[in-house]
Amino acid sequence: MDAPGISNKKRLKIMLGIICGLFFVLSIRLVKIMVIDGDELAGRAESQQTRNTMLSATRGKILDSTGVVLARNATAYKIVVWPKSIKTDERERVARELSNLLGMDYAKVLERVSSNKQEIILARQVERDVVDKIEAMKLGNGVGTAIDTKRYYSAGSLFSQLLGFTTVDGEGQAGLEQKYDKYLAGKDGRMVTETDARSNALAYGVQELIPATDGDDIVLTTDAVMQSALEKACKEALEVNKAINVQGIIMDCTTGEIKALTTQPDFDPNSPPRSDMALLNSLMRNRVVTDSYEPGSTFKLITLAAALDSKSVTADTGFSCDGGCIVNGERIKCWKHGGHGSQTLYKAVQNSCNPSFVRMALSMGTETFYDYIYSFGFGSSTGSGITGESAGIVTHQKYITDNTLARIGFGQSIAVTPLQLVTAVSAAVNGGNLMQPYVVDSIVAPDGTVVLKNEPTVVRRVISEETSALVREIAESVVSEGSGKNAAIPGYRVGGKTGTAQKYGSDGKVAQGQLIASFIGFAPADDPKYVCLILVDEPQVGTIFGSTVAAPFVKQVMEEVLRYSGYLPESAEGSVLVPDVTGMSVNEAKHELGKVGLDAVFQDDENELVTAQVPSAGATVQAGSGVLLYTVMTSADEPDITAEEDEMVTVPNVLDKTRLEASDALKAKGLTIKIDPPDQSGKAIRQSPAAGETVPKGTEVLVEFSDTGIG
Amino acid sequence: MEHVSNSPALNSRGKAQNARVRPMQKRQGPLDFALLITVVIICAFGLVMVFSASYYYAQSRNMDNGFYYLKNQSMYFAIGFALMLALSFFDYHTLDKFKTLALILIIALMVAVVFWGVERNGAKRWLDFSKIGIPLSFQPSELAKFVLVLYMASFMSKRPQLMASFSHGIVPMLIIMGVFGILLLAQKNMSMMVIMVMTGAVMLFFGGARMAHLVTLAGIAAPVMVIAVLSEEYRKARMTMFWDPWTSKADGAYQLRQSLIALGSGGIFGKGLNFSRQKLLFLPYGESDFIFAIIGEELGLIGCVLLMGAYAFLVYRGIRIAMRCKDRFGSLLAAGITSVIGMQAIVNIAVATSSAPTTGQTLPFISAGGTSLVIFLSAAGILLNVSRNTQ
Repeated sequence: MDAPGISNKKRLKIMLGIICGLFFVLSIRLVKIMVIDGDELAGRAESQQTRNTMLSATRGKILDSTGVVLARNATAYKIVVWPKSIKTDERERVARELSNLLGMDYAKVLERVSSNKQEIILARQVERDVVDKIEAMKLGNGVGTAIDTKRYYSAGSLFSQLLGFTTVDGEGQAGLEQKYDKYLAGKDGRMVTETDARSNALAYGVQELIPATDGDDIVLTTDAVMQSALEKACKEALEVNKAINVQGIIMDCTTGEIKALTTQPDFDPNSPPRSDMALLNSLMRNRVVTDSYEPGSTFKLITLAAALDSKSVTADTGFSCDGGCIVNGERIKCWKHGGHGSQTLYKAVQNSCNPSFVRMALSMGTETFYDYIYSFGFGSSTGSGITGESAGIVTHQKYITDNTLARIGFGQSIAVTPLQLVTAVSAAVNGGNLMQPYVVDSIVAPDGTVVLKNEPTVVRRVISEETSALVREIAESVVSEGSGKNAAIPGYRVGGKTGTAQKYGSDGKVAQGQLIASFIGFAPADDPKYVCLILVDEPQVGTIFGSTVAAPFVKQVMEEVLRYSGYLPESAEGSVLVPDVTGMSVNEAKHELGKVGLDAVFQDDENELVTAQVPSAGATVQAGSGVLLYTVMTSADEPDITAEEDEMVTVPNVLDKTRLEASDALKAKGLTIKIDPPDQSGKAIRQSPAAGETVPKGTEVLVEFSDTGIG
Repeated sequence: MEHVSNSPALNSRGKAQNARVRPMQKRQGPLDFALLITVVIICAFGLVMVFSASYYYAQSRNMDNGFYYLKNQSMYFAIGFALMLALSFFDYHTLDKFKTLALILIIALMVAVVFWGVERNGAKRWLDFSKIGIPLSFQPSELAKFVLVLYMASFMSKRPQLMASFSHGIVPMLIIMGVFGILLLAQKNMSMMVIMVMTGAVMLFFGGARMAHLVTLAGIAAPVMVIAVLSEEYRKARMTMFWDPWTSKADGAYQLRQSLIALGSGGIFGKGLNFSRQKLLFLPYGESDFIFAIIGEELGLIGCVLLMGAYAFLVYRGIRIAMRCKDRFGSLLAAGITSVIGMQAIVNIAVATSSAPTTGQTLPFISAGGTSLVIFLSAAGILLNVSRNTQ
């Protein structure tokens, strides 16, 4: 045997070189893995080596001003699955047991427990007994339960549109729940637990705990008692009038605090109809702030306040009304055919005389009146803190003609939200200060710290105290002597104004027969505290006027609110008890009511049976107020003898139009076409009444066509 | 004349023979102390790492006995260390006499594995003697590598001139390799077969086989391997998953992902000794085949590079011994042993870094496992003995 030769030594060196070379290559590879890819891999490591448990923050409560809890979180549980910790041969049993217990689809549960996700929430908001059952099943490390929360609205549907609701995950989805979500939600905490591959927590492992910060409580300015009074009245008004909806607001006019607000029909936020989005969207609309409407006569209080404050009229100004007035060649009719004759300012307001308010508007002039309109807060959202507030529609001054200005004087050609109107009327009667309306009184952290506190804020002085006092006096006379009699509360001093407004169709034209009846009242009239507006949208009854459809409900609400707030009635002089007249014929009812000094308000044939009455039997009302008698439902577009406002339209020219065109043109104005004999065609050759004449809505227009039928 | 002229040559040969024989009888040379220290350091480090990597796993598997692997490994280290010291005094030339016996024995054991072997991880590798009352399980193929080295070193050192001949030098070696290969194939131990073929090839390279022959053989073997791999889908998946273990659905890909996660989360400086998280049941075989990943996680890139440096140093010392060895047999033996240690370390690290297809090769001197540790220490003993016979 020889010592290794030269070539051997060379080969040994080559081998040494190869091996060292390979170690070097592996070092490069390690640099790639451990340094270049290090962060990514470390991230993967952390995600598989830790279990991340959410610690949910408890959502804050929503309370009313008296401490009544309106929304709170109730404890529920959720079922959490860590699929990796379920043994493969256990999966089917776990899936079967869980699907049986939770009423879920077996295949779906099996798929989830077999997935390679770290954590899956299988079910939410389950009750304690389900948790107990799961614990009894001994499903192992892979199935656990955790505290979950469920939003509970203790007052049911009370304040439903205002409060809104949360998603299943507890995030604010609508209303205040959404708007104040960042306060209510709090901040979820987190617990990061180090685990081994089987999700067992490590005995010496580091646990990172970020505790949850509970959400803040929100205290509202509202009052649950007033709200329930308002909701009850609005519900009744909705049912008895078969209206589309009824809206109501109560505001503390001295502070701007919103005490109650509702839109009926409403919904139960505990179980909002999530499956029917269209319905839900409609029900959760807080129409008192989102929908603007033409206020009609209720706006006359604003015109009055402005005219008095600008000294365009005084308490002694006299008005005369011959049934209408002509502005720029256009005749604006008063609702009372033949007019009110000459009247004092008080009477003009009591009579709700349109030409008088036209005169007030015109005597102020566009600039002055507009200053007041803006100053009262119209044309911009009130900033009340309620979501979805509309600004209303105030046509820009530039485009205002005297005709439009005249119409604004009695509440047409302007659109306001109910909240704007209540805020403005509050200013008109509270001494002249426009208060900032608000609904959130304060936000309080769980430790009691006040995060946010709203104080009553004067936005601006709109009218002088003297003017305001005068407006109060005049408005009180509307209730005591004028069209607002039905809102009178025996023993209390109430002021207010009725309103019957037209609605506009989607084509922007006045919708025939679709009216909004409203009443805005305030009490006590000498030193107002509360302003209440109730608005009945499209009542489907014969007599649609604020005085009959809305005022009795305002009276009902105001009475409850005043008593609740500790206002004692003065001597209830002249008060009478409303007798039960349902089941009688209208004639009999009229007689019966007359005996106690009440007026019967009705429209239909006097022989029809009374099916319902407002106010209902047993209510105490001021003598001389009216009781609305409901018989069978009738069409709403027939004018009534007691009509305050009568929709008048100008007959369009239909000559040379075809049948279809003529019919459309008349329909657009709220008139009906009459063709007699019916089988005519060609172009219109004659019409009666003639084009340009002013006739009440719904009038039949006889049209003759060029081609008469064979017969 | 011819006779006379030949006599100096004869003489010189006789002198050369004398010169060769004499130091063998004296055998006074000191052993390579640096090598010994390196092996001991690597082994000690290995014990620490095995304990760190296995404690949680052992505890969760063996009911509160977290020291299971440490105890076992320490015991085998003691046996292996004793064997290493003994073999470092035991003249390696004597091994020459046992080469045929060793070959027959190891073939018999490998045949036994084929019939009675215990299957683990899809391959029959183990002989479990506990069935016949001896508490020992043993992986003959680990030993077979070194028997192959011994046999080839002996054959080739006696007939250096034959190695240039394909039929007389290389073919006999191929036959031995073939026998081992077939037996390993029968054990379904593909990866070990490849290692065995590589060991044989390296030995042929050291033994003086002509490059032309080696290249030709490689040219024949490579396509055969490729076809063998591609012919079976599961094998193909297993062989190719290391390219992209993140998307591979093959069985072992999870292990590779966990190994990469361990290494990656170690970073440059590591999480510190004992602070591996991947050993908490995330990384399978973290104490044996994939211990390198745990080392990387705990000691970082620095630890890994130092460990590879230690292996490289060990290889350097081994090759140095082979180059300085006074006889061919010792040289080939030392080169073979060194190459097996170096190649196996490389293969193991390549697998742990997802740089090569998964094999069941241990990390020499470190991975938990009695057979591997005792055999490598024994081989190191032989290497140390050879080091005493160097210039």
